Amino acid sequence: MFLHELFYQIKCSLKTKELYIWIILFPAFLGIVFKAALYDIYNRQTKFETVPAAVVTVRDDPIFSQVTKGINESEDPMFSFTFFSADEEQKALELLDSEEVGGVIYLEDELSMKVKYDGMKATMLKTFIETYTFQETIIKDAVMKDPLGYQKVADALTEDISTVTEVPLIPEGTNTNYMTQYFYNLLAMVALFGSMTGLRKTVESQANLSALGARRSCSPVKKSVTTVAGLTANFIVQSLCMVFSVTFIRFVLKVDLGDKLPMIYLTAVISGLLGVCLGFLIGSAGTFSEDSKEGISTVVSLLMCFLSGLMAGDMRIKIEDRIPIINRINPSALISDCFFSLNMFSDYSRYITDIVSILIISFIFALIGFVLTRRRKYASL
Amino acid sequence: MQVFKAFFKVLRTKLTMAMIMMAVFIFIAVAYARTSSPTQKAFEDSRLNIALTDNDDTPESRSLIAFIGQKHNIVDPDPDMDRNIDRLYYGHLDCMLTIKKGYAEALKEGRTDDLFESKRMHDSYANIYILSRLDQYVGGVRASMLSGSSLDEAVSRTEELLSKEAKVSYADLNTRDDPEFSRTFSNYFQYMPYILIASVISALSPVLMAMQRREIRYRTGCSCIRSSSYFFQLILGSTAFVAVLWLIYMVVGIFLKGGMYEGKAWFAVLNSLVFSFVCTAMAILIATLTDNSRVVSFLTQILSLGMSFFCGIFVPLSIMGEGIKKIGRLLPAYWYISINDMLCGRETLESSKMISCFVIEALFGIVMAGAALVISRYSRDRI
Repeated sequence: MFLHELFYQIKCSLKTKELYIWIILFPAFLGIVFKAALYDIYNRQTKFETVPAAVVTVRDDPIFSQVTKGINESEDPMFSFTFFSADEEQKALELLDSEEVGGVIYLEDELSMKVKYDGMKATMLKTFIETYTFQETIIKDAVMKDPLGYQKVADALTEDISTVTEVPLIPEGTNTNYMTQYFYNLLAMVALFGSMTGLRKTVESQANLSALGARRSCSPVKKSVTTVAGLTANFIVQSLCMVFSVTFIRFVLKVDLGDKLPMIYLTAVISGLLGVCLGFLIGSAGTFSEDSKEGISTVVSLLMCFLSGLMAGDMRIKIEDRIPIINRINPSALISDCFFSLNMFSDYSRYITDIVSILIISFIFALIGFVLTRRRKYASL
Repeated sequence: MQVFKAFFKVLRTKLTMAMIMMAVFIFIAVAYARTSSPTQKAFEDSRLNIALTDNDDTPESRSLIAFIGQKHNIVDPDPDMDRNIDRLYYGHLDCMLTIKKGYAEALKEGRTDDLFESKRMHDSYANIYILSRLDQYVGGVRASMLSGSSLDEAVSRTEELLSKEAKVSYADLNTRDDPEFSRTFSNYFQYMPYILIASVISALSPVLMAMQRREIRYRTGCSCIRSSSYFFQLILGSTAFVAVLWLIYMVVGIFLKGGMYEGKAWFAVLNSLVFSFVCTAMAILIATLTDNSRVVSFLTQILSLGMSFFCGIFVPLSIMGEGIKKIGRLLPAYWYISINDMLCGRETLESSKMISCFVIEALFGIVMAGAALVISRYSRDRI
């Protein structure tokens, strides 16, 4: 009887339009939006590229010209300079306005700079000016002290030194693009949106909420069999959706989710279980209409996703700093953290903690759902 | 005003859900605004967050830490390495730096290699900057010592000279942060389109759909109410409801700001009012296009999240690619965000540009309302 129920429940689930809308079409749409709008921001904003600057020459300074020319010609330079005369200042400012340069340096008696915005590029250019002034002063000091021996001081200042040894923190080739966390959260959202199909099944088994539930309640099949078969069917269908989402993100959108792909699929499937159990809980609680329960499910899922960073990328870490307990119990944060730790760490300790938490929360949701739905009898409907 | 009254009667049955959504969205907006960076009044160097460990623990190493601390935030590394990795990944920590044992000794001897150890996540501007800053510091100390200074003198002279600030000004005064409408507070208004789209459509469209149900339309059609009056009362009811919703958001804004709006902030209020009108038109259009509540729910999410990512609500327009901005221009939220960016100083404030943004934004609303009118008339004719 269980297998019979399961077969028809799966058939019913596969014929549910919402399934395709919410768990396949909507995430695919969002995935495309993320890929188009966000994924490249990391390369443009965070990854270092030569900082361009305009120099307006109000007075001649052969040493400054020599230094900047040297930087322009060096391999992988930190800055690139374009020179303008005092009359051409407006051109330099236009470049600044169109953000083609990070700042306009004025070569006057005292070096100064104009920027459009503050930020890392402007700070680096400001530091360049300060360093130039600093080196100029040190050399002047040296000339004053020892006019013949200042060259070794100048050489020491301009010599390429490397005071810092870099120690690798994560395995080589790890994807450090923080925009990938949007895709982790997208997968968490797909998992939690599984609650919508979960709650539908529950509503359809409740005699006081749907006609189908009323028919089922007077059928000879045991309620526990119907409920477990319904949940299992949901879980199977949700797993298929999760597998589709991971495949779509990884192979169609070509987002690097790390090299532990089988584990990512497994995590996605387990996350789907959490969504189904959440739906079962919401569906079992109270006597709201199906529409209201769907609304609650959407809002709850989106709120959880907001707290884990679906809408503001670093929300999870901000919460970790202020109220870390939320990240330990928020299903969306746990799911996205699973994907994060699979990508970032070679050992599985954090991943296991997350996945066990997901399983415990799923069990609690399912247990409460069962408690709320058991032994319901209706004198009349 | 029977239709107007009936509108609110139907609305009352859907109000609980609308209130829950509104509370959640207000929570999201306030959380977003509260967790944003504090207001900045003039040009400031970017402050990096550096987790620093001093294994040398000498006066020279402590002096270096104090020097770095003048311009950057120095934090102790978390004993849990995973948390450090989290912070590095999300950019809340720029690098982990260790001053190696023997640092002071090496400085005395004029050695410059292998003095520090750095752990970092990204090949970022911040990392290149901090590494070059350390090289400059050590190079400066060595050069000062070569010109005859003692180590103590060289360290203090280097720090003194490197601490001298260059003169930096903004090319355009309009891009400065303005206390009337600070960037921190502007985040609340930046989030507003997401909240408005989601809450207005999800609350208003179901009511309008209920009012437009076939049998109700049949009954209204054969009553003595003129169709223009029916439509007008429906629009009036929708406008009144959205106006109340908008007022609530504005009052929350006053609390968040800590006082009444002033100066530029009033333009932000006006901007949100115009956008509320756009959302109302959008909700009416959706209600005329479909009578399926699940489709409405789906469209709400598509429109709210889609516009949020394409139009610079969740991620600033300034860091988005040109291709995406081109798509964004086809959506009303883009023009709302452009105005918001001009008001808070992220973009140059030009009155002509701002007026055209307002006009384009309002045009979206007018076009959608017009389309809704045409479609509803067409569907009535079909009966």
